[in-house]
Amino acid sequence: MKKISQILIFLLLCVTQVSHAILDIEVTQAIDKAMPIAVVPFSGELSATTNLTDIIRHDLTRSGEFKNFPVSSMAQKPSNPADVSIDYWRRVKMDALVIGKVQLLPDNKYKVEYSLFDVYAQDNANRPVMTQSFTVPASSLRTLAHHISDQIYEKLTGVPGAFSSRIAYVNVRWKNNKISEYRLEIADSDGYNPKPLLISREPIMSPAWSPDGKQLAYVSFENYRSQIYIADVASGQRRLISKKPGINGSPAWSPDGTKLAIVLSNQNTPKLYITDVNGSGLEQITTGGSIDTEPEWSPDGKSLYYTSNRGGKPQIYKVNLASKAIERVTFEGDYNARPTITSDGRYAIMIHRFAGRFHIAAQDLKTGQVLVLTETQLDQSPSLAPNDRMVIYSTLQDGKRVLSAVSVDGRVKLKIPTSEGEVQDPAWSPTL
Amino acid sequence: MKVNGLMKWAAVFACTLLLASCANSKHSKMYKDGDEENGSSVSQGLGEGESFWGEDLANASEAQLLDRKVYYFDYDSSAINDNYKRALRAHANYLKSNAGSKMRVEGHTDERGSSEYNIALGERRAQAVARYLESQGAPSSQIVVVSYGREKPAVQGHDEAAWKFNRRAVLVYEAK
Repeated sequence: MKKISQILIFLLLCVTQVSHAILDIEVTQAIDKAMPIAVVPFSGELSATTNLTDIIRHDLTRSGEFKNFPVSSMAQKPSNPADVSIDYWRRVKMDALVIGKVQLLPDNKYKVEYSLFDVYAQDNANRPVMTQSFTVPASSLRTLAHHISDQIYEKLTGVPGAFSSRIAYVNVRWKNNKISEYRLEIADSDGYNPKPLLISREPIMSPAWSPDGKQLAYVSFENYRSQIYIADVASGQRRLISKKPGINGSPAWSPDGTKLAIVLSNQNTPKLYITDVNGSGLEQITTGGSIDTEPEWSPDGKSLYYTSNRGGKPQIYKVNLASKAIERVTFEGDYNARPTITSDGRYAIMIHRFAGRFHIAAQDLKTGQVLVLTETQLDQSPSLAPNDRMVIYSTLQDGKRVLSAVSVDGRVKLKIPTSEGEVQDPAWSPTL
Repeated sequence: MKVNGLMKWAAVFACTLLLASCANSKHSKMYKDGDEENGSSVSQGLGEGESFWGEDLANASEAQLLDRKVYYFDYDSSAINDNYKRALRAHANYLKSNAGSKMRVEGHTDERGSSEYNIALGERRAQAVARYLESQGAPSSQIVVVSYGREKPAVQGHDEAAWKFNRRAVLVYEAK
């Protein structure tokens, strides 16, 4: 029987879609050579329940790598490949063209077809380089739009898109100068359909997606102690994984999804541990008197990167799980923390203090070179997109905690203002 | 899992009480935005490394010392200010004399730096206070240390004027 002093409203994810976005994403800096693309409104889409090309254009803009041709400037709006006049699109200097059709079928289903053209192709530019066709229920149109964005993005850049992913984050609400509520929410990658997974009067932190995107681990203080839970995202069912005395924190999933690295202090000092995802089989990984925290698995599953003050100030280290040998990773700056590693193992993204300010930086793990990515300050909680191209993170803007995003090379910057309360601790899901 | 209506309201009430007791220190009330009752006395007792309690504690009664539940820290430090020790001793005595009492010592940090590293720093502060209480006779079985890191600031704000009030340990009686 739960303690009466807990206030915990546990909501199941609803089926109905909420169109109001808590996060409203704007690009503040795109790359110089963003690819000009025309995504022509699909015929029939205005009478569908969701405007597909609006979503596709917004997705492509958000990547910072595309520049959309305004619909109001389009003198031609073909929906059949046979009606495409490539000369027109060359005249308006488009590199790529997307056209399509939406047809309502019986049973509230939609047939969606689209074609992608390479406008400057040498031969046969009039023939599409890709044509796809789908039949989906109305409720899946938004998901389909993101999937189409992924396909277009990958065809044109060679890199998989990250539009069919979700972002978990903590929304904090203040009332009368006190925090009244913490909400662990999950929204689509464009900020739409935010749904609370947990609402609490006590802090929630460190959400972490399982590699298959079906579960979310997090730390909750609802019992006036830090404890680690794992929730099934679809059903909302959750289980308590760790409630040892002292700190229970920083859950991180192994690449194969079978283990969690966690931090326990046992009322002494925080060290790294590994446990099975059902909470059994606890193994201590680091020892000694330093603070060790924020573990992150290497992509090959053989090591943990982590934050430690064993050298005096917080720096990033790496421990080999078999030998327990420790090596230091960061040498620039007096504060480096919260490592997250690209899936090719090449870069560590982290919080880096530079000139007294906390920024997000990327370190080339081979050369040791550090690139500061952000111009924002008091940055925290960097999380990589599943295609490793963007980092979403928490920062301060106009006195409020908001999310922001930056590309891994620092060239694209996005602002993500929030409509309600403050937002922190973002975690980008795998591609779903 | 659903919480039924009556339990939910009882829980809201209980949590409001707990939150209110966290903010019980007279001085943490002084610095909240929009709090008009103490607007004129803000400058008393301020300064780096001072206790923030302007009054002379030498003549404070035991009850007044027990009223002191919030203790502040310098940046990157978990050292306990000497001015606090008399009040902490009063709490140690209370715990020693009331075997059924239980105290939660909360550790907090300002917002700078990473969240989980701040959980560790907050724990150091709370542990420093707990160890001091134990050195003054408080039974360790009656004390629990919980770190909230930067997650539960007392004061909204993004400069040292706010940060100094968020670097704190808070004593909460879970049972009296």
